[in-house]
Amino acid sequence: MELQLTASLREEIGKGAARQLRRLGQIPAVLSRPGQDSIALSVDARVLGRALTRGALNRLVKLSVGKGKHTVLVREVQYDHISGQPIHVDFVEVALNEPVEVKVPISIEEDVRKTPDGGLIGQLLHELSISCLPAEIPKRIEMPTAGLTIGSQILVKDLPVPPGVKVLTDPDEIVVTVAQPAVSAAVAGNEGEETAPDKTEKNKEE
Amino acid sequence: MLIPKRVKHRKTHRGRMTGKAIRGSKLDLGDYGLQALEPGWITNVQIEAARIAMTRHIKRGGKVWIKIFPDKPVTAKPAETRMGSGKGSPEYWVAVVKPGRIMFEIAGVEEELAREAMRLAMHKLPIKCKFIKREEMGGESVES
Repeated sequence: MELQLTASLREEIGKGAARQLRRLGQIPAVLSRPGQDSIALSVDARVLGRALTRGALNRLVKLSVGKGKHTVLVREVQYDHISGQPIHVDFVEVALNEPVEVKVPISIEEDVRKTPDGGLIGQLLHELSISCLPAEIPKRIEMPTAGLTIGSQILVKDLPVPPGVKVLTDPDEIVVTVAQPAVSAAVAGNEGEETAPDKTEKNKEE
Repeated sequence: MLIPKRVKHRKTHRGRMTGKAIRGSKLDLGDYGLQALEPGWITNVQIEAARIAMTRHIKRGGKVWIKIFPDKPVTAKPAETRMGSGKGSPEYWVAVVKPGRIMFEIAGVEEELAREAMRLAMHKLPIKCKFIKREEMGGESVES
């Protein structure tokens, strides 16, 4: 099901105007259209927040701007990294019959963190670049962890990708490794050589 | 203890800590992180204390990353010294941290364990911090 969002045209651009908008509960946004000029927009912060929690990223969104309607993807959301609130949104208009390049999250099946033999599953790659039709973008790539042992790894080419999806990430890139658990805390606390701070210059006293 | 191997200048100015962290404000390697909410100088002793608190709490399993490095020397004059006679001698090293900076990351442990380990680490640091975790779609989820 497509999400629906309503945006209004933004007349003024620049950081001052953007900050003013945010104070009024709006989030500045941009709609990029291939071969055409982009449009500066603003979206209601609460509506956008709800859409993002329902997974608006990588999903087709019906964006209403005035009387026009656009089929868009949420390309990027910029967050304030202290408050966690969105501060800017990039929409990109897509054609339903043309493949798009997007990044989808890779998640570990059932959120398992350890293998049966006690190995520690470390995820090195969290997003996968793919190319597919906008309607076929998977929500996430589920990675099975069955059969993993200490020392084994999962590469991009081992991931179960839905049909119609082309992977753009290097197929030999490592997604997951299984490592031996770290040493015990007592040893870890004393590991490494501890050096005193540099006091090369003698204190010059009167 | 973290300390630079070699420095170009032995003594530096104190500098200013205005603004927010630009780099190092997103989770990189781990699933959970400790984010600074205030600017401050974190000494190598404090970093080490926080690391030990975390690694002791998570015991076996899990991995801890230190994402800051104390590369700034801080000088001090000896006690009961008259003013003047030049700048003091380097006493310790600090990492300059601005709000938003992820200082530590943890992976491979349950959330509750990571949260408690980070709470213990927070008490070793001179600034306000918060626990954050990686969220699937976009950005990090923010929790105190």
